[in-house]
Amino acid sequence: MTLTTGLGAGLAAHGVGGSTDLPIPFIYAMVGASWALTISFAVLALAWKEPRFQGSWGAGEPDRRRPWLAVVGMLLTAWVLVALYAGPADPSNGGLQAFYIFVWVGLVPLALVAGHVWRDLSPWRTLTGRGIWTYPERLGYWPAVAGLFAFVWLELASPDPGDVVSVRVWVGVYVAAMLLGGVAFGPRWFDRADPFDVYSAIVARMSPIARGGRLSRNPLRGLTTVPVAPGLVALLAVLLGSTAYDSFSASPFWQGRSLSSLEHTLTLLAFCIVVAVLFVGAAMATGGVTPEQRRAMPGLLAHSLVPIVVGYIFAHYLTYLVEKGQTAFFALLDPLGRGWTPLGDPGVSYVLSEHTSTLAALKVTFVVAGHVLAVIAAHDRALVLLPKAHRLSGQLAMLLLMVAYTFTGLYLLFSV
Amino acid sequence: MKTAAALLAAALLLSACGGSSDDGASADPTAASAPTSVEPTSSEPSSAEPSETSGTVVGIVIAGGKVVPQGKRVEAKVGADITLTIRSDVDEEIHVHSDPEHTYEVAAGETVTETFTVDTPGQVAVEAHELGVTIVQLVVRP
Repeated sequence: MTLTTGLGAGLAAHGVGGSTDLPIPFIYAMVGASWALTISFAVLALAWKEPRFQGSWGAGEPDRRRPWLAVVGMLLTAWVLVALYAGPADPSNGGLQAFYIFVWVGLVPLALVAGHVWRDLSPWRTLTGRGIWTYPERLGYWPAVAGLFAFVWLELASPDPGDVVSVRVWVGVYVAAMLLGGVAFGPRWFDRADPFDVYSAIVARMSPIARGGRLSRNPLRGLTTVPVAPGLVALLAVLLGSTAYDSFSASPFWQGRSLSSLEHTLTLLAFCIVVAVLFVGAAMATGGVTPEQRRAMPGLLAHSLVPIVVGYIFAHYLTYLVEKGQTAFFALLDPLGRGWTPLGDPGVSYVLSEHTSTLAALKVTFVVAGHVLAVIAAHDRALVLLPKAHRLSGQLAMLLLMVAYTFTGLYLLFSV
Repeated sequence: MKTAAALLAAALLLSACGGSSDDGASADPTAASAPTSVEPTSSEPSSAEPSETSGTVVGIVIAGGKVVPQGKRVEAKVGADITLTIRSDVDEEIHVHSDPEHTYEVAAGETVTETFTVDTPGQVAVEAHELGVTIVQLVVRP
């Protein structure tokens, strides 16, 4: 064993070893927070009074999957699975790195830039048919929520996220669940139960590209077409809460304690629940609606959380994707750990980490941009949902909550 | 009126934010001073100050299943020497999560001194692998 072999231990960041970002300077966090606050209240007080971005909620029949992308998806999946299961059983395993970096983090920019191509790529969709039974719609997104929580648990709270065997077991269970569910319920299973497919589908609503690249649209209009189903708020809460927990768990306060995996798991769960409960409470905090309308409110406003999630994911994982992604790419070129270097000696460029001020500015920009889009989306939907007399007061709780989410995000970037 | 209310809310929230950042700053010294039952050997334990000449020195003691320090932030400079002095009463494996990573074996009863540099700005966790504990986070600045 050489000294440079990274042994991913329980505390290695996100299951892949290596260094993490410096805290952003205090002044950057303050400037970001001031912008977020100012723009929020400007939107509430000065912006338009009639809804402007409401797309058609039905959104029509989905496209046919593009066969060439299905082929690409099969090949890439096979490559990653061979690397994961036949490659070395240490953290240099290319399949492990690809899973944590390209599948989990790479999914977000892919969906944002190219739309929901995950649906075309998904090998599980390719391998399963039309289904035997109808998917029980009352389950909504809850199977995907369970899958996403299982993933963030593996990444952040399990005893050893960098352990190849743990990842092999996780991926094995995931593949089995996808194939069985796909055979049983057909494509609907992936629209509602595949954690990665659902995540990509929701982020893709913010993409300017729709319908296989044949249509460009305003991301804010696209956002309003996120399909509302049971579990949508929980899904977004898992994404946002887990990323916040990830930052928090790197703080000296938390690292100074020796805690069991169960305590980590419960804390992770608590973060997600707090995010969800606050959102549900803020969405319902308006006058002039019937009890049924009030209960529907969180789901109908949930799409406005998507930009906050995306902005924070970008801020949190940017260097991870760009820099650790290079290592993962080279590891994938050597799937069996035989020392293959088809593109020559792998050298990683740390261009982001080396420009600390630019990186800090980028991170703050992502968080604030996500926040502004979220506030605009929530405002626009509130104009549809709220009775005239409560249009301002009914939005206030949600606005304050979004400001609180953003301040927390900036505070975590500054302090950890 | 609306503008005044917005400004008031803005002031309140900004002051709230400032308050929480003070908490963050004050949490650090308490974390550092809490576990002082075991004193590290020779080199100054945690008062590691980055300087061009001497670099950063971190004294680490592993005794009775506990590590001192635990979870502390230690400032360091890119390219400057970082020295870990590790004394342990059990076999332990120290991981330095830089790129590339370093792994140091410490045998029971031994004191080991290891020096390395970090060439990319970032935070580098130094971890006791068997215990699963982060000893320090090196805050490596340019």
